[in-house]
Amino acid sequence: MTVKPTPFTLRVPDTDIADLRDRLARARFPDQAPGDPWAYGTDVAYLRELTEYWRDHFDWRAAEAALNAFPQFRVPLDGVDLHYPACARRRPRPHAVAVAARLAGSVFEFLEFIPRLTDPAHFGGDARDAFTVVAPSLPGYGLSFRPGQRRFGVPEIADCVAALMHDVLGYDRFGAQGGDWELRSQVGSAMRMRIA
Amino acid sequence: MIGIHINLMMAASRDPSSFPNPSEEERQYLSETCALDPRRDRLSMDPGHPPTDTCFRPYGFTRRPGRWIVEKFRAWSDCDGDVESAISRDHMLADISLYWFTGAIGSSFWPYYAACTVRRFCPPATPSRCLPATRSSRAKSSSRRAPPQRACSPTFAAGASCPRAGISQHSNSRNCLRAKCAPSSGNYDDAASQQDAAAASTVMRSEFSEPAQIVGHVAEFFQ
Repeated sequence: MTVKPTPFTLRVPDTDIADLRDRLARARFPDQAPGDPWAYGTDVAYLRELTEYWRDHFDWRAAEAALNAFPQFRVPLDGVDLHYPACARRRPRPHAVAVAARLAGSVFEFLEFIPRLTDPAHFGGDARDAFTVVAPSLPGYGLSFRPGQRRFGVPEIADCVAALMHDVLGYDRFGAQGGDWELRSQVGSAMRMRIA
Repeated sequence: MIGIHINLMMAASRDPSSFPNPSEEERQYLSETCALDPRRDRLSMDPGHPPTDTCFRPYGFTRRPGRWIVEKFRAWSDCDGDVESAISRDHMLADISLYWFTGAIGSSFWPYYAACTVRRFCPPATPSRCLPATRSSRAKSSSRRAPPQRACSPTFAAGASCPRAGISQHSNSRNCLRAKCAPSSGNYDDAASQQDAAAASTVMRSEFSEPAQIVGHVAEFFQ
């Protein structure tokens, strides 16, 4: 395989954060429809409160640092720069598992449970249950997105994940977790095509 | 196989007649799934819209910042109405901020749009499509199967402007299969392959872009 992953650290420019805060400060809200506050979408009162917190108290740099605490890489694959945190356990030889977020989610979902998989002994589990975890940002999502890049359907996403795990990282066998329909089975199909 | 992790399983029928003598567990399943509000489970609704239009909603930041994602977190988590009991405020905002900073929300809708327009959101005819064929079932196959057609979702190169033009490629699904993705024989059940082909043939009937729906979509955008 000629493609080579390169280490990655997320650093959103200060100007982007300032721009977001500025927009949040100027946010306008619709009125709250009568009835159950959540019946027709997000409760406007809750949204106002959340927006104020987002603008005045939310610490993006802290979130960024939490992600950057994990080893992250990018690798050119299928026309995108695929981003993935990868936490390898070498002893005892662990199973590898690929985990992937779904629509509305992101890699941030996995930051709490990745250590539980890679280092179960630290959380009261058995060290022999350790996994190597690869958590790709799916192509077209989050940090695997660049404006104007090609679009992916589920079969192509699955193929890209299989390419990462098999072609780039060299796993013939791994588990796949996807928080949405079909991706798990389609990763399996993509892998069978590779190793059949 | 080491194991299977399952969530968001709604593949079984919601039709009570499918369970003539329901067990207590089946009764509970029916009551819960029939109570699902399709307007709330917007997974199969919103992303079926043309994705560039859909992404204007969460991008309407000066009007309702991050509102769509917050609603999804609440609707899709077991939070009993209190979203922050399931997902912390900082976690939600990190996620929403990432969508904002990367600009990936429109692209993230694409797989759902593709699935809604090419392959209907329906369970396969048999569960075996999702699992590798067992050795015994392979052994029973008396002849090598013809390579199955794999129903593809539309993938478009950067700059392609018309999804319909892309979808039309699927009249010959091999056009959109990359060489390394070409299936080898025997990887799919024949029945599932036929269903894939049937699903692909319904492409043009399954779109969400009927005029009335477009009007409703625009009306919601400007509400």
